[in-house]
Amino acid sequence: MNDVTSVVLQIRETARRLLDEGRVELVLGFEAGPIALRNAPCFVRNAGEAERLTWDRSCGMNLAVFLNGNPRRIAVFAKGCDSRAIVNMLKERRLARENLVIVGVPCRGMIDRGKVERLVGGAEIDSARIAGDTLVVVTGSRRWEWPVEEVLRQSCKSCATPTPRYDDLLLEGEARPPAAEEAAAPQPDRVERWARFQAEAAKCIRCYACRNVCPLCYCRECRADQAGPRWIGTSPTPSDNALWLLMRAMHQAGRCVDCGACVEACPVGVDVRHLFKRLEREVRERFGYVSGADPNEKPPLATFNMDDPEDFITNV
Amino acid sequence: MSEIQNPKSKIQNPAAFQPKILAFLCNWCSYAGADLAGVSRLQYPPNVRVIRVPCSARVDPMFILAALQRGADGVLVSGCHPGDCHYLSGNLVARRRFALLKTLLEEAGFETERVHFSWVSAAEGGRFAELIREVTEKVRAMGPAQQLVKRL
Repeated sequence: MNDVTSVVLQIRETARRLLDEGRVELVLGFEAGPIALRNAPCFVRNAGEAERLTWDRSCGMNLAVFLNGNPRRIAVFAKGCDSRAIVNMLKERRLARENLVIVGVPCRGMIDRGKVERLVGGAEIDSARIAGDTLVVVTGSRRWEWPVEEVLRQSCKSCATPTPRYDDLLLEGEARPPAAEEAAAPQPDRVERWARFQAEAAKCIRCYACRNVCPLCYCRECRADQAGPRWIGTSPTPSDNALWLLMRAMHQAGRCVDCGACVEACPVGVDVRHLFKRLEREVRERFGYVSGADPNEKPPLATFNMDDPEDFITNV
Repeated sequence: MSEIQNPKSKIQNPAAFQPKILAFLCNWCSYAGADLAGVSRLQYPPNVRVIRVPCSARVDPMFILAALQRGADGVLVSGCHPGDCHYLSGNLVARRRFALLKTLLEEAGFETERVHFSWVSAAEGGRFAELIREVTEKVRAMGPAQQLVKRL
């Protein structure tokens, strides 16, 4: 998977240059991880280490999470989704803009390891590589093949900014075309919706990996951990799990940029992306706000409009 | 889970389910409106338990979810009419928040007939009573809340 492509060469060269020029103290990118189909974040502190940096279709993690409250001068290799997260973090004053060098990397979409794991029936993935437009995976003595497009993350398929829009420097490379707006899927009825939500909540083990990889989840004391008041119980029981997922969605309302890092990080495959996505659509349609677009735009819940819709109000 | 019946129900209608509804009322408008209903001796269903808050914006979405978790069959949040907030814009910020909470609950498949938001002014005693009648009947029709109730 780690072919040295033009993007990889540009990344290493840019890292070397930024460190040599003293423009940054730290470069944030990806390196080959211990397991296939999941690259690890890479922290490069001097030009000699730049060779560790790589880039391929397994760079799904949102590197912006490491920028939170970090006082160093940092360069980050940002995909479109990472860049959107950085925009929201700037609105919330989580970053000193002058300490940041955002190097945009055009993105063709990242592979959904969870999907591949399900497709191979949970077998251990020994190796993976891309041949043309095909992902080839080996588990034991068995070889599997799928078109890469088929095993991409959902959030990549619906990404509006595969070429990062907010950056200091943009590398050259091929990006997938921006997706047309995700058509609102035909809504299952309420009973089905609840059943689906309960099924996802039942899987949750409250490990908080989703929270930990999210760049916008940065509260020093998360509400879920607070004991006074105890907002939600800590055990993975149906009601508390449901409240955890609803709480996180509500706290991310208007802030989430649908980078998909949470879905990818979940060890048990909880996928409540539809909740986050619905709220993203809602803030766009109700308040005309696009998450992760303009760092000068006020967050939707920090402001108001006299004419905000009142369709949900009970009137007598 | 045993239902704790409102004792009055035994007198009025032993078969009717008596919902427990938690109402967050803003001190300056809705609570005063409720108070006016009281001094005017207007009759309205006794199913509402009132929590007075300084402003509808004080109501965190987690209050509503926690109430539902602990057995509230319905939740009402009522504040000043937009433009009349004692703190100028609390209700306007709250309006956005509640719209999103309702959408989220709807998306998850929760029975949103149990959660209500309204604007009642300090002069609207009659309207407050009417609001409680409507909310109570809507929640009663849904039966006892089950979905988010914590049983462990």
